[in-house]
Amino acid sequence: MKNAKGVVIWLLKCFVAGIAAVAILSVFSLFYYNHGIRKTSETGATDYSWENQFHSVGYEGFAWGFNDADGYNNAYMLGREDIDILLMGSSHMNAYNVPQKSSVSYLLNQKMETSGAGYGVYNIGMEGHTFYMCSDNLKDALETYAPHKYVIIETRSVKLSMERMEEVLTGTRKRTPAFDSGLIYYMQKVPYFCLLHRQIRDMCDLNDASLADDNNDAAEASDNNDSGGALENQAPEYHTQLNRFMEMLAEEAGSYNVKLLVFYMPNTCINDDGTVGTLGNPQDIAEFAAACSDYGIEFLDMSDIFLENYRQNYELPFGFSNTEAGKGHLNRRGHELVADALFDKIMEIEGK
Amino acid sequence: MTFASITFIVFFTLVLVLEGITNVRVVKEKLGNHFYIVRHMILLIASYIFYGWWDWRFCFLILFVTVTAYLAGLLHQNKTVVVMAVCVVLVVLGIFKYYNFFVESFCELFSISSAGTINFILPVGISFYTFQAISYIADVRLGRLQAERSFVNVALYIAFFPQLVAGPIVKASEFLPQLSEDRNVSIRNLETGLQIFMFGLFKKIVLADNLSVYVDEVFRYPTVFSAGTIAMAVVSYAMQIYFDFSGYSDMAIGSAKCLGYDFSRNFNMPYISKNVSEFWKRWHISLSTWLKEYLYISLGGNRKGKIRTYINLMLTMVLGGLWHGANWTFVVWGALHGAALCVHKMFVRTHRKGSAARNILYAAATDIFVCLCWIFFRADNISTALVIIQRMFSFDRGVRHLYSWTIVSLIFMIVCHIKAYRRSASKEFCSGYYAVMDLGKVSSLIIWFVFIGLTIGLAYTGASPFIYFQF
Repeated sequence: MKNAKGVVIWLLKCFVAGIAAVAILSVFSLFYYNHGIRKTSETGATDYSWENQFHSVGYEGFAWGFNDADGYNNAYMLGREDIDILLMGSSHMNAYNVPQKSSVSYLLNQKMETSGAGYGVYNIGMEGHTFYMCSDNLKDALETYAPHKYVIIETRSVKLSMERMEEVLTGTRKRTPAFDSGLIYYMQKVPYFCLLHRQIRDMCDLNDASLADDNNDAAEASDNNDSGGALENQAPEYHTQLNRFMEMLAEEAGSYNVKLLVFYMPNTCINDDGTVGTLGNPQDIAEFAAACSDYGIEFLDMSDIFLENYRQNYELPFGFSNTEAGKGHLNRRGHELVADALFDKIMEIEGK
Repeated sequence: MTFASITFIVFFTLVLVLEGITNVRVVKEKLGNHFYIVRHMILLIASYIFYGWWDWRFCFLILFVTVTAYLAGLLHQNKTVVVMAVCVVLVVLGIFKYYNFFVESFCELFSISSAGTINFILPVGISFYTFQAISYIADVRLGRLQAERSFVNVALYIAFFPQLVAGPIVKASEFLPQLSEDRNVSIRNLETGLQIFMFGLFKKIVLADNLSVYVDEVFRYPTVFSAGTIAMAVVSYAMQIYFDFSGYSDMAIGSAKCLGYDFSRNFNMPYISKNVSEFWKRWHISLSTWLKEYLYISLGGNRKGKIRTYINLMLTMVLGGLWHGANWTFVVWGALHGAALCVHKMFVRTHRKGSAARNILYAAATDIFVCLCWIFFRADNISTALVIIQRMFSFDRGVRHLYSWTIVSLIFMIVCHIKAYRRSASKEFCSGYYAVMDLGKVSSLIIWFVFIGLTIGLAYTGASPFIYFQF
């Protein structure tokens, strides 16, 4: 009886200690891993945006900041009527891994201001948003934010998936759910549970997927993911599909009187001989660029810019002090390079 | 099945429950005289399941080594039998681990085709349990231990799963007596054992594995990175291997403790060593003890004059290096440490108590030497090791990649060392300790749960096997 009482008391102590521990761990997670809670986007400009204002990342880079009222990462205050350039993209443009004032959108705004061009840049880059998702959301994004001049879309792949393109063309792409209701929604409000979920998910992914020791394999897999995992290479059919896709994008941009600029960011890799390269296939890049050109879409390829920066400064555009060099998300230098390149491209288009 | 896996947690829980059930009074009374044999059989079967999980064929090999050791123990009075048994065990180790290495080296030396290699799977832990088998045979022969009549006990000593695949190399004279004692799963043992286990798990999956990301990249592509980055990677590796191996040892010690058995400490703050001799009293203590007792002393130790002492030291360390792996890099690593030990022996005359500043200087110098040696230990081959050393001292340009986990690990190590230093009875030979808490208190439980939460939250989720599994 005495033993049973002792066990019950100890279990109660564990319960109390557990609550206290979760609270302490949540404070830690608030500054280490806090992307916020996804909320379904009412406008459809993105599949979802962020509910929480404060965000932080400490596992890949170190950065903290606040989202704007729409749930996007914009440190440059801009009214809706002042948006000249709309920036769309993935977690790279979401830029949680770098301080807000080091992100592409902020730097581009700064350059626009200091150069006298005066274009206002608004960023709706969102974690997990591939080129297909951005393309599918383009119409709603333009409807909501009505940029005056440009819409810029980031792509990590120039070899697109037939299946994914078809989904966008036929409007059958399923939007990514936001889990903004029910028990999962409330559990996300405890920062430590989000971190725990991420860790368990990553461990399970490791168990499911084959181990990609080789850097190239991992990056290729990432490209495949962006292209929908399909590397169909039936040239005539692919070419036709790609043209249809570009035509759709051009029409949508044209109907809102904005210029569409697509910029390609390849993965970098360190080769076995110790040199650094990018993973984009030159033929695929050329084909993609040609398709863009055929429909009046501006195309910017970051490959040579990344490599030239490495040759001159021995800097890689991806990777942080707590990750592998050259892998993962755009670091501060990467953001600078992209912002500079986008600025130069826009000035070139403008003839300035 | 590694310690850092869900499978092991389930497996270990089952073993604990089964062992705990045998300790229940009613069950214990029913078992009567068979109590110990039943307990040991449970652990033995569990150990073979644990080992067979890697590859069921390995079980036959360990059984063969066990039978050899057992019979040699019973027939220890016959020197020929003892020598043959040791040779058989060494031949098993030699064939599986070194056959291809020597064939390929021979062929390379004489520029002939290495067609004579055999496609072996290296059995996990073979280096450890063969050494334990030799330890048993030698201890019985030398009269340090009585020959064990129970085959189950000998088999359990060799195959005991907490230390089977990556040590510590437990001496038979330390473990076998424990099997006759009333050791069991208890609240006190669980409290201590789980905390030691978690401490080891933190060192492995948080510190060592996160460091491995950086070390692997830099060592794989040394020509890409700057001198400073390479130097940082070398220091990172020194910490990675320490956290990885001492973490595993802690998990082994902790899980054994949960079951009621005590293992000696295997690492004792090696990076505060003031010289290489002290380093080997603090690093992989079970291996250095084994090498000293069964190899160095058998060769004559320091009893046959100075020159012979140095030869014995060099030979012991070279073989100790080769034990780690079938690669010339380990031979070079061992030789460097052997040379350093010889130099230390040559020049050390007195054992004066040094000032704190001098001790720090000596420790720093020892650490620099040890770190440089680790380059050979880590590199895939000697030419890569030389490239790394050359890049480190050439100040060539390259990618500057400073790694924050190196700083975090360094801070963690320094803080733990300072705490241990303050607590140590002898400041001259400072010893580490396990900061075990009383989990009956709410404050301790909070700290414990936060620690577990941080371990899970900060763990590296990529693949990163234990370094010493390859040995």
